[in-house]
Amino acid sequence: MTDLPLLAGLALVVAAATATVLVRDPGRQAFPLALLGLALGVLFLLLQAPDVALSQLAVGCALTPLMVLLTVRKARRRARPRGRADAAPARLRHEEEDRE
Amino acid sequence: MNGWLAAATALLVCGVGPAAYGVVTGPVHRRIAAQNLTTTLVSLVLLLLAQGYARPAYVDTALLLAVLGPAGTLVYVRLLAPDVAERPPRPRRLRALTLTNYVAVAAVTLPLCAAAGPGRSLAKLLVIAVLLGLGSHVTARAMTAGPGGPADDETSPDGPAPDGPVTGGRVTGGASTDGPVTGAPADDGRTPGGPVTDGPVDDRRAPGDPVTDGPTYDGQPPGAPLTNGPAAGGPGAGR
Repeated sequence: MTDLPLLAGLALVVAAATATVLVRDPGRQAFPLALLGLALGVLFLLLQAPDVALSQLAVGCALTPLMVLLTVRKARRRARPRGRADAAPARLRHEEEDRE
Repeated sequence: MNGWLAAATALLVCGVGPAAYGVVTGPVHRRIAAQNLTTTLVSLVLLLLAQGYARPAYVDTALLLAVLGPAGTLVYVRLLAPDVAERPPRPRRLRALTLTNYVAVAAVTLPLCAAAGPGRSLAKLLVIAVLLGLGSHVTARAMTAGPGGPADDETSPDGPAPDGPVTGGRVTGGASTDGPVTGAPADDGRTPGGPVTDGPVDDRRAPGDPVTDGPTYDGQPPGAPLTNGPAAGGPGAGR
């Protein structure tokens, strides 16, 4: 009975981790990742480790989604000119060479 | 196992559970709103756990989450603005969800304040409650800002357009045109290449006659010898 909060926290962590694995699109995966961070923070607090919970919440709540979404956005922008490669392949080759 | 821990468990199972389901499924606007609700509810759970375990130090985690939770949600709103603009949230549902946030914050914070009594811990609780409410409000406003808000610069590949020299076909500065410096293509009725008739045209002169009164180009067809000024009629003639 006294372990009920701990069990609830563990169940939430398991559910969030499973949801993270099941979501395939990286842009959408940021959401269950943040949820996993939150659940882990709660679990750490339930296990009487508040400092670890502090670090986990700081990283998992704001930083991880930010990094994931920034990467997705950067990858999308890079992929966009390739879609126009059929129209002007020569110019794009120069652009990529300039970039490198 | 006291009442606070039971309340924390109940909030975790009945509140965070459905909100977590809303985060992992559905359209983007629903996920962002559910994410906001989840961070609020988890912060309240942490407050209840702090009271249940009788450890005031645990309140700091709730304070951190009250600050970072809305920041994280605003990150989503900012970086997923195009997806939100594609399928914007229904205002009534968003308002109902925001109201749920406020009610949950009040329902949990008031008993905790009553239990805490006056002092620093009460002030901390109030600060957390205000931050959570403010975070919900700001996030809801950011989601309904729409494509006219700060999400405009999502469309340009290099971020917001710089305020420096304009590019893309507009005339830069005014030095390259003969007309007034307006930054727009000079359009005051002149056809390019035609005779410049800036001043009054002297109708008494026929084209080709030597100009004897001042340096004007009136009426001279292009290509005609420029006979004006001191050069007309020999050096120093009348000038």
